Amino acid sequence: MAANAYSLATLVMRYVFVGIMIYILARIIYHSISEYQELHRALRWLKDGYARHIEFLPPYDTQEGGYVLVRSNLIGRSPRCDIYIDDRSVCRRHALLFEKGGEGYIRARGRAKIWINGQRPQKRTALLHEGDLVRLGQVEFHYKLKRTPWEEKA
Amino acid sequence: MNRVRHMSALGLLFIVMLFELAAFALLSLRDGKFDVWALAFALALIALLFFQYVCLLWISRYADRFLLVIANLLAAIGMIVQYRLSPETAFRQLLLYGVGMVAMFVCVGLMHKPAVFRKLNWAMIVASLALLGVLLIVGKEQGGAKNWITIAGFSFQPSEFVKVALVFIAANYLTEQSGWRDWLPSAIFAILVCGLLVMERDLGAALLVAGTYLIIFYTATGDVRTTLIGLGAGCCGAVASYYIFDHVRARVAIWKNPWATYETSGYQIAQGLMAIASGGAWGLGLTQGLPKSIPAYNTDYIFAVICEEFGLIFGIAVITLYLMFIIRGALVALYARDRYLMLVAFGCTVLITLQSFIIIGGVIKLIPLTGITMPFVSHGGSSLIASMMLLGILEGIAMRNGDMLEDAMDQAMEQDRLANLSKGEDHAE
Repeated sequence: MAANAYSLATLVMRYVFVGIMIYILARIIYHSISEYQELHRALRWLKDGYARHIEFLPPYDTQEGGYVLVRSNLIGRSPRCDIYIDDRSVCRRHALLFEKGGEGYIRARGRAKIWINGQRPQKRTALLHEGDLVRLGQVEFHYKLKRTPWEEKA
Repeated sequence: MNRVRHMSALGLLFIVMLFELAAFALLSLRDGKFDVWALAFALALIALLFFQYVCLLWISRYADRFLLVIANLLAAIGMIVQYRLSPETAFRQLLLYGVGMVAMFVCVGLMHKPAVFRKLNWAMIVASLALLGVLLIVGKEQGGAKNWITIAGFSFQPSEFVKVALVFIAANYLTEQSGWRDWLPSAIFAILVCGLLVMERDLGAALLVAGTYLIIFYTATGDVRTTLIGLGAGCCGAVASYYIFDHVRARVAIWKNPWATYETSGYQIAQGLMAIASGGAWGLGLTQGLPKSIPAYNTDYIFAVICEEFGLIFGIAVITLYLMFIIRGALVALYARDRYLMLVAFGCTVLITLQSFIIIGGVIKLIPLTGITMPFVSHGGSSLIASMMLLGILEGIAMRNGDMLEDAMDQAMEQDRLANLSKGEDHAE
């Protein structure tokens, strides 16, 4: 009886093993593709000067040249955020800046409020355009697409 | 902040651990009684994998996590099958995995100063040839090949470490591209190593060395004609060894028809094929097969055991894991800023994957069977340690790539800042 139950268990478990294996493979392939895209973006930024980035207005413009965005970036007061602002008016996890289909979007998290060009967006998720001024609490930043290459300016 | 963010693979590692825990839970209930050692083994392996992941990321955040997870998964599959076959060898394998981990971290550390390897070039050449030469005289014969050496009670296989040296030596000579005089010494070295390996009857290693050298050579020079000549020479060498050496002829005869000599020499291949066939698409279930009927079940033929108990789909997934290893390794090589490091990274990738394909091809009777181990999976100390060294080298190069990219991005930022400042001054005037 016990032996029967055990062999039944091995028969069931083989599907679990195959399932886990295929899941791991799918995850590795998916992550490899996204990581490749991120790397590609960084290299493109270096070469052509194209990158989605944000530039904070004073007094928060501590990072020269702004912050280059990746696929999804969490902004907030918590040091665990990708972009971290030390200001009481900003929530711990305030907003998410992400990319979908080549367009940049911003989404407020929880009860946090955001203003785009002085207006509250109609929906929770808002499309961003080049040069938009976004405000979170007291902190403001510009959303930009292009980092003008150094050679052009010189 | 201005960095390329890498995906976290900790979640994946937990799934690998879950897989392993499930398999060991099944193994611990084998024979109707509860085996505490199986669970202890699983927990020890989990601790080791976790420690390895955390340590590697502590060294640098740019370590390639997926290469590590792929290697961990393969090692976990290997350990499960080893434990199922015999717990004693599995414990030995776990110990060797720990040693291999240390070797990996040493290699990661050494890749911070890759120039050391270029200076040690001649030492590596002399040591490799001496090891293989000594083997001809004092080597111990095991499984038909005279490729074992015993020093102070530890027996190891020098050919595994000569392969690693070959990558460095080939990369060193192929870095300069001015003409044939640059690469000639490495070609002579590769031919010598191949010849010695064939004389020791270690045909798998000889095939591996020749294939790896040709692939590195083609990547480095892009010279189709010379590569084809090399390939032709390799084929001529293979045909010549077919006529000169009896054991090569025997191997080919077995490969052509294992069923004719089923009772004697064809037994291994025939049993392996039957094991794979009896497993079917979904396998017989862990502990339900008869893997011990295949000779060399825990080293060369471990792929047949995996296919029998886990099924053909799982076997294909294992092959796909090796394919992903190529892709990840090639990406590391592609982003290397230094030609030498690029060749080393590519060589390591080719070595691991070519080895797995030679043995899997042998097991499924695609090519004549040559006895080499399956990297990360098979039982075998030298092989496991050498594979972990190759993994460590790849990780070290990935870390350097990340650091260099970050530096380049910082520099670009700095240039922007200077340009902005000068622009501001222009406006003020």
